[in-house]
Amino acid sequence: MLFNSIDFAVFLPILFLVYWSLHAHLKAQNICIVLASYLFYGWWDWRFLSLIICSTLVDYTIGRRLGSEKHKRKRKALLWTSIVINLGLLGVFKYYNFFLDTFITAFSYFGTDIQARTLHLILPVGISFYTFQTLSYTIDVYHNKLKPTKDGIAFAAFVSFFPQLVAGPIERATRLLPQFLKQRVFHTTNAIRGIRLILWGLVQKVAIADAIAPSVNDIFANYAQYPSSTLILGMFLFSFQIYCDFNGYSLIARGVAKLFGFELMVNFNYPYFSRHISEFWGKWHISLSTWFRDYVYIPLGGSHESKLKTIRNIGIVFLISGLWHGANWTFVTWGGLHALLFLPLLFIKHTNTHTATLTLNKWLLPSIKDVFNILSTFILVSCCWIFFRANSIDTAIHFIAHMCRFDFEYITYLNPYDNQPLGIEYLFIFAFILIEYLLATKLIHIYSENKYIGILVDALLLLIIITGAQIGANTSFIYFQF
Amino acid sequence: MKHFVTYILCLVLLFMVMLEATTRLFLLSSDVIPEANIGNNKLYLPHSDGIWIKGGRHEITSHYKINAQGFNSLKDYNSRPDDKLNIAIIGDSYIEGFHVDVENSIGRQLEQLTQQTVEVHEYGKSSGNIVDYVQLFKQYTAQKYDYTFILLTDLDLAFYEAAFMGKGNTVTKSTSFKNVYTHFASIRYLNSNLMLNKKLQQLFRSVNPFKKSNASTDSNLNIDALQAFDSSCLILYEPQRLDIDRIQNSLTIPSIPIKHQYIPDHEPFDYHWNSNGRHNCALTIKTYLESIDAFKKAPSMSKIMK
Repeated sequence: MLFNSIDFAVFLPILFLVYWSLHAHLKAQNICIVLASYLFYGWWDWRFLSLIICSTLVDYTIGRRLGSEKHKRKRKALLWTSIVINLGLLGVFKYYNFFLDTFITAFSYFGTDIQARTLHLILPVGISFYTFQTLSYTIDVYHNKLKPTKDGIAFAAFVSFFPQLVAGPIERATRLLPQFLKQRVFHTTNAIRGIRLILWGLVQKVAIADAIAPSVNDIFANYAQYPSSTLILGMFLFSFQIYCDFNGYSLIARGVAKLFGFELMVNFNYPYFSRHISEFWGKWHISLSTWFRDYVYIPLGGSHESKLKTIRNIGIVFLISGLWHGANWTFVTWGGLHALLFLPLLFIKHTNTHTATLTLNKWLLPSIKDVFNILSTFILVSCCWIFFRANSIDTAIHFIAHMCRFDFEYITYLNPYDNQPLGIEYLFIFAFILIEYLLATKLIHIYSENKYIGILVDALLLLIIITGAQIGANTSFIYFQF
Repeated sequence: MKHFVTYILCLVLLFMVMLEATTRLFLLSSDVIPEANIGNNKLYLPHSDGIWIKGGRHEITSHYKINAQGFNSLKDYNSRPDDKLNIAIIGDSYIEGFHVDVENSIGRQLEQLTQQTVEVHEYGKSSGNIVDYVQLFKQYTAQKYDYTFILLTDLDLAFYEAAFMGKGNTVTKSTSFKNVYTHFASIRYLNSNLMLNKKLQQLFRSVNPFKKSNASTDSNLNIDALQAFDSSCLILYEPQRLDIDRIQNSLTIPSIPIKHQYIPDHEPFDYHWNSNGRHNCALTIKTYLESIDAFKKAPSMSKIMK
């Protein structure tokens, strides 16, 4: 079920009423969430519910065993059982064909032809997200950071919680699971804030991401026919498309969770205003980057060992992060490029993630140095997105080669959707950047203090969603494929 | 909770006011085309003329013109020219053709492609079902004008589905909902662009455990209705959208597949609906006509040949 579908628009209010009518019964509320989450997921394909249920049963059982087991070797065996099963499912459904094709290609390169059959598998939506979420539970229990829960229903609700089930944020058990174990209380203010997040997320998805998607698709599909200027436009448009698509989803997820009395983590913290790549990764897909930091980078030794080992660790994390996104060398290359961009910072002792807001001068603008750093980081990140977006490495390289011809002839790019020059799309992007800037610098706040202004803003956002939607646009979220 | 419900109600109310103002100010929704009962059929009020609008970005702004018979067509169907090959096209909203200018309908494009050697009358009716088609066929095509060819189109999945539906429809009396729909541009906008009505129906049909099975099997196909069409008929269909083999057993009339590609044009959100889609249909019909003797022997064709 898509957040931006009529099915969800009917599903949500019904669930909301049923859920809060059970407010005195914690267990009943959790059962309600589990059933609703299974319905939400099964709406797409009910057969893959079995994977979620399998993951839930495995990690619940192993968690319980870890709670009672004191023997170190047995605990380790239990942890590895969970890792092997979870990553095994992910490996079969997402990576089997990829690795098989890679081996076949590699061997054929050396003159040996291997006959092997690829599997015709559908990639279950959101498998990478819920696999990492359940793994975080087992790992935290193993490291005694979390006591294993005895409440199977609460655990099932934690694994399958529908707002973040298919595209995150990837919640930690230490943060989300306790929320299922305590009574939720309805707060009007919180619910209204949830509505605001949902609407702001939908505006980003519908009015920006979906609106520029046809242009991005067209430019990347027919890049050889366009001058450099159009390819650069396509590259920047994709930067906004992917951000608005994914951030939009995360905001909707947080908003929906708020309606049910839950708090999900902030997944994006205005990443395009980052001043260097380290800061960018502290603000982009935070739930995934912190997951890799805590469960891969730090266990590998982090940055507390030699420079060489730190470089290795950074390389490993980014390559795995790339592979997590998709079974294609383009994603691995994308991860590798980010690792390369990260490395220089190691030598200028600049790796600490900035999370501080920009310092503004009396004209409410950042310093020239900050503007330069923001723009250069954005351009570098956008260049890396080419590999993320392209279907193959060859395509990405050719795209960049065409872009570097520097034939900046002026051609008005016509949106393939309506054969008109882009107009309203630029307006929406410009307004979006302005609002993001005001939010990032805390000159405005996403939640309104004044309730009359608040309702007016919400109505305006709703109006933009309804009138900004393109008829027949592809409305699926990009990150569903991961 | 009470405060929250009040908030939501106020939000919806304010939104509807803003949407009404926006749709009127930016002309995002066309007026309702008045309907009329004409010869037991629910058609449009003759001689209506205007612009049909769809989409918040004016994705479609097309000219329509309702003729004396209640169909969207530049021509009134008053005569049957003897010097031309006379063709009737019966179909659903695709033939009704509000998505393109009436000047670019399949009929007009076919006439241009054949250098006016054919006369085409279009009997398009959205949401029509097989009984409606039979009605149109009997009333207009088989008896009144005696067309040489009658093309039944199935280009929007409707024909096959329609074959299972009940009886023809008539203009309903004015109801409160209809009045609201007629007077509020915002409601029309929501229904036309989000297709709320259709999507909700689909949703409730899909989750209704007590629904009657309307599975498309040959056993419940309305064979009687389909057999009303005689040998002057042809089915024009798009292979991607219709599995012709499924109805071929019940239907003895021949069929013409549209093999041309739909290419992007003015409204590429669905290549099927745009002008090129219509052009492809016209081209397919023209190619078919050129392969048959009746076309070559048509008086107007002889003139061209000379």
